[in-house]
Amino acid sequence: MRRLYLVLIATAFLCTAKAQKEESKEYIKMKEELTEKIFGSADPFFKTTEIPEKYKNESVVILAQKHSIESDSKYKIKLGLFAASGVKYNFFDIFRRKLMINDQSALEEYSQLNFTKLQTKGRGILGKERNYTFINIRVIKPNGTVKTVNVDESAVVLKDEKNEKQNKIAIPDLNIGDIIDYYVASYYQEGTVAGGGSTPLLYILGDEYPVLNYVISLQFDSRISAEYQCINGAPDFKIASDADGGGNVMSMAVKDIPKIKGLIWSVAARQLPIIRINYQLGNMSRRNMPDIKQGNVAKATRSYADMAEEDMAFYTNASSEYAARTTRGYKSERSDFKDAWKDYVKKYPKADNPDSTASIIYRLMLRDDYFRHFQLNTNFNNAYFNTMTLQGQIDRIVLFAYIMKFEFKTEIDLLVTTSKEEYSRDNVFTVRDLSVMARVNEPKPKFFKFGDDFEIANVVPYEHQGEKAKVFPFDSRSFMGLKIMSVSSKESSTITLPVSSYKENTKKDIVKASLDPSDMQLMIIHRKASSTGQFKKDDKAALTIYEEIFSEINTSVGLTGNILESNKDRAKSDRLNENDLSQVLEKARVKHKEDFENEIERNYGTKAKELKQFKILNFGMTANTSFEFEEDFTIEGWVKKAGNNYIVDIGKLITSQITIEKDQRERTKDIYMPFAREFSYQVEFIIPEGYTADGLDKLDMKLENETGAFVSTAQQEGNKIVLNINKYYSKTFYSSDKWPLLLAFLDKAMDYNQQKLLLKKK
Amino acid sequence: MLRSLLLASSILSVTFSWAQANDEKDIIIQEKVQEFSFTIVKGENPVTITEKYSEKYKSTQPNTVINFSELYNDNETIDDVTIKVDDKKVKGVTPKYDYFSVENIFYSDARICYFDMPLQRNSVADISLLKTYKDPRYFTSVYFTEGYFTENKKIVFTVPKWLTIELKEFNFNGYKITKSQAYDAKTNSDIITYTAQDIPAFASESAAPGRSYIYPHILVMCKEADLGSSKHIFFKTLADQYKWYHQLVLNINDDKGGLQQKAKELTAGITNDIDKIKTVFRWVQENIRYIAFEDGIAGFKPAKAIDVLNKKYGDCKGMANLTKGLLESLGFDARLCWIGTNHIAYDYSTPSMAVDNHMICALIYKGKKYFLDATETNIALDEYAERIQGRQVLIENGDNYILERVPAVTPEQNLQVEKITLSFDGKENVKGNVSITYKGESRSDILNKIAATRKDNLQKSLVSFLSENNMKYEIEGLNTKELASTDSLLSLQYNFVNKGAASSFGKEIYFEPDYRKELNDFIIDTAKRKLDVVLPYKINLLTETSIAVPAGYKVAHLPDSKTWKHSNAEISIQYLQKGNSIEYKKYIRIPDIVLRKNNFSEWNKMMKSLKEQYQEQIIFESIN
Repeated sequence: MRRLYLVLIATAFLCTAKAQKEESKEYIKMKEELTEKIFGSADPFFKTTEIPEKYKNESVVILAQKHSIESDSKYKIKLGLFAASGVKYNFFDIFRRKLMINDQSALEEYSQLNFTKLQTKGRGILGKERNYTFINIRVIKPNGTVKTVNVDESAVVLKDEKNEKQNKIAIPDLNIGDIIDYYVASYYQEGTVAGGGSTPLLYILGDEYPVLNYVISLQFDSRISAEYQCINGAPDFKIASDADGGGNVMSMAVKDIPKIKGLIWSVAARQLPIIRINYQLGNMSRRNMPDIKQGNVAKATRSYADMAEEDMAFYTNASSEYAARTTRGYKSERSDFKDAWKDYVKKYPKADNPDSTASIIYRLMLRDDYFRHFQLNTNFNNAYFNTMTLQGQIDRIVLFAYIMKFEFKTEIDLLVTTSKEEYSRDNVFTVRDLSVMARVNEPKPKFFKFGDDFEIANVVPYEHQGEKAKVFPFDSRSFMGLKIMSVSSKESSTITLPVSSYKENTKKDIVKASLDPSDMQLMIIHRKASSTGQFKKDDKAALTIYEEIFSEINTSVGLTGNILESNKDRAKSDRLNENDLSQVLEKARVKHKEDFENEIERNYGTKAKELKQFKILNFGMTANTSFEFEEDFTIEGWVKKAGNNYIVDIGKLITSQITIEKDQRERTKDIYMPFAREFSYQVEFIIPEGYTADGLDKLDMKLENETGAFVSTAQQEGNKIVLNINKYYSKTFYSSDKWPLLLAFLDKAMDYNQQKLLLKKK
Repeated sequence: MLRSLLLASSILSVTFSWAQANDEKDIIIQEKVQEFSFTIVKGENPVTITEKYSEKYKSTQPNTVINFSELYNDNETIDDVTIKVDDKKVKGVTPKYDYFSVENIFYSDARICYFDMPLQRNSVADISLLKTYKDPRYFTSVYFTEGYFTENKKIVFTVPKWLTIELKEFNFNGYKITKSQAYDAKTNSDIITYTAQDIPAFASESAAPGRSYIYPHILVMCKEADLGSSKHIFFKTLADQYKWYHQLVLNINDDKGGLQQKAKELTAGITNDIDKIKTVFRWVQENIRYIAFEDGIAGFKPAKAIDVLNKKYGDCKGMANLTKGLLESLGFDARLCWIGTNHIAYDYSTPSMAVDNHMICALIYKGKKYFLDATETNIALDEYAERIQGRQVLIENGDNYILERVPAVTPEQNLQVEKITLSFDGKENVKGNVSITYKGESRSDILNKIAATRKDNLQKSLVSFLSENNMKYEIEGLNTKELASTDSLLSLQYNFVNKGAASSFGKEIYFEPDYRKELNDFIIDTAKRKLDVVLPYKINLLTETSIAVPAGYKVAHLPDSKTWKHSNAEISIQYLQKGNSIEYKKYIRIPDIVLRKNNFSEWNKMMKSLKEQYQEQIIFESIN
């Protein structure tokens, strides 16, 4: 079932609204006028009722869709009843779509619609402010007959509250080949300019169905300002004066937008045509750039990235000033962390050097997070719990800067950067497109991100690797009689963040496999797996429980003891009941085995018959250590009987390999990988007594090119088959013309996956 | 993505979910006392029922949350809910009342009263609730099983002497349930008390039988109230129930002219009666969208056939009524029928609204009854879906009724035959052609999946379904246009190349002849599965593969043929060399779709053996 697309902005008035169960006179009048305005006159974009031959096999074809906003203070829309509404802002936000139902699944999808009907009047500064929504649906039959759906008669009410009705409608007399033409319109009023902020709009030119006509028409009157961008090949708006002069009409009509198919290794924000707009009542201010005056529309320029970076510096300074006001510049935190550091270096005197200080402080901050965080209802099954907001990250960096600069006299910078999974620097539109990190410069530069509780000191997360970063050095200045941290654009410079090679992001399996002598069709596997670099985070998230990481973090800052003991160190009011805590921890321990069972199923594409034991050997808590675990399990179904002989699916021991499906084998879009990476497997397979092994020749493969490689060797050493397999992706980004090179070694890996070994009875 | 996956899973490779719900006993119900009493009131329904219950929840774990919910509808009201923890009123927890959305039902009058209540270890929550049933007909059953493990449960009926009631016990076996009866002179009532101990929580498992087959409960049948001056009869006999249903049907007042016009238009040019019937049935199946309504009395009264015709959608009642209306207008003897699907454990020997849940149309032609269920979009005339076959059916017959059964069918109705001819192309690749026919529910099943698949994904989904999702198995010449055929047999033909289907080592070629391996890994986890497993329909599947011995080779080894017999199924795999080819024959027949718990271990043994058999290799050896 579909939810109607509804652009609804002013919902804040809901709570103060008065009862409007029945449709009021003015609501009915407006409804009629909208019907006349939208369905009554011929819109050239909505004329077509035919789909081109190339789309005959599509489930749904959007013949036309249009989003329009009309703002109006002068009642051009002759809704006479509203003539008395004075200087309010009246907005009409209308979304209309006309689509062809082309198969049974589309019929099911569109035959039932959910929608919300609002009819409220809130009280604003200038009297009543209305907020109404309207829906209208009609069905166009193949012979051209137009049938209007009586929404009120056909709908059932799911929720019937004072000012909001949730309805559901089954569209009558709808068949394959019919066209649905519907709109959802909302009318709302806003009273004043003050503190309104801007409203964002986002359009992605590409949907799950092809669109023949995509129309955007935004009319902003003389009291509204707007900024916009059209990126990744999206066409530009035509901008004309509105009928009254002082305002603008931004419009575009795009023809024939193909559907978007899920594409492996792609990034929407960098590869799809996207249009973004912000509009607001009154002037729009921009840091270090002239305001956009009301009645004006401005297109974003390349310098928007600089502007957004300046915004980030501003928020950083605001966070510092806030800390100055509320905590006297993190006074007690600074001394607490300094004391903790002293305790640490007392235990590990070698750590008392400038090279390790920042990492110790970073780990202490992390430990502090864990120490404060856990409650009885914490999800102890999972160690990964915290994703920081942008504001939270800024606050952490500011605290980090206070400690490093004031307590250790170390130079530290704020880095403002982009993410490879989001908009590129050229297309930055708002500060929310950016990310922050810290860099400590002495003696060697080190990078710190505070994105979540699985970040590691001096590791640049893959999404920022190779991206440009603006560097704002932290400096001290006076504020309210205190020395506080601040950054200034005057000192700023730009760097490129380091990129890790495939040798730094590795996954390695050492596997010993044999057949169970009492059941030759059961394979016994001992596996030791390790991961490094960017792989560690996902492995830790999947395979560790809270308690384990908690102990590891304690160890990483020189503390002994587990979570139960740390609980005793908490202030009395924060301390949890020990029995209760033990009980919830025990529950998570019992479930822990499932993490490893699931990992086997995910990696090998088949369930283990039995996971006999598992153990994490190393948690990889620092940048240069690996995450390591070992396990013993059995698998059924990889050994097949052939007379007196057995066929072994030996290729499956390298875990399942990625398969590129037929419809993705031709590619025109560039390839965005998360990071360069390497997989290696060392396999020892014991030949059962009384058998010989045949088929080793097929296990020697080599395909190496500039995008990566798949190389394998096989040899027999006594009663062992020894396999060495190596696969790597050399880079993180490839232009689309390199796709066949990637496919070449990916296909080799897939081929290897299906290789078999013959065990022949002597 | 989900849609293409839908098609990829044939019913024989289903993975079942196993119950996890509340197994851990984090929260238990220590005690629940549920009391029912009956009151004479003024108004259309002279008797109402009051349900009063109080329950004590206890948490054995720190920081748990009770998910409380109670359903009601237009015929039931929730009058009061009180919540206490450790004898104190709870702040911040208030019941919410909302529309309750039932899966696959477009609209129902079901409402839910619910709240989440946090509970600390060893705390006890008391929840009590007062509910009224406005009409005894809608008060049909009381279950012992709850959402949580229940240590003690008491169900008390205070039945006044003026009320005739029958309480029928279901599924008490294996539970500690006792019954006692006393007379209370003060109220002139019989007091019937059931007490139960240690009742496990409801299990939520897929492919499970309907709950009335499994859980201990009481079917409540209010038959008659002697109100002194008059007697008020509810469903004393099946005739009473029929009368009530029939009255609702009589009030429909359909536009017969409109129906006749449509029926004539549909059957123009058709002279044969059976063809006319098939055409009308097929048209309703294909053109009327099934949308379920369960809305108070409207949940029992069919919509006007003409409205269903105009709107092109309806629920089972509306679709049955339209089927009847169209056929009747052509002069056929068509009737409405009420039926309980195989989801329900009862039959009409216990008159109650709980007995049926579905409506269909019966057509009586030359002395034979055909049952037409247009909600089954792809079932042919005189074929019956598993859920209604063999079930009792209440057929409309003026003031009286006819009680019969829908014919029970054998797996032959659902025959699926796959014929494959294959030969070697080199040592490791094979090629050949395939012809598959689907009939009955195997046909209906695949057509339903195709209908749910987007047109632009259909070819891809079908290919991945037919190739068992193997990229190395390439399909050519598959014609999807034939899928639209109205024939009761669906047939597919295609050519294939399967690269790497065989493995060659030295002078030998090893080949696994079965690439579909139906039922492979259908092992039931006996440690986790609590309930019987119900398959969607009876299986009858035949595969015949003719394998040409590769040129220059001879057959060095053929696996042994094997046959398995189980109370649910019969399976056979045979290998036979005939001259220069090998005939591989597989036969799977499952006439009984309910795999019972006590047969699980035998079933698993058979499945393990079948899996091993599937992996057996044919060995060819080079002659030179």
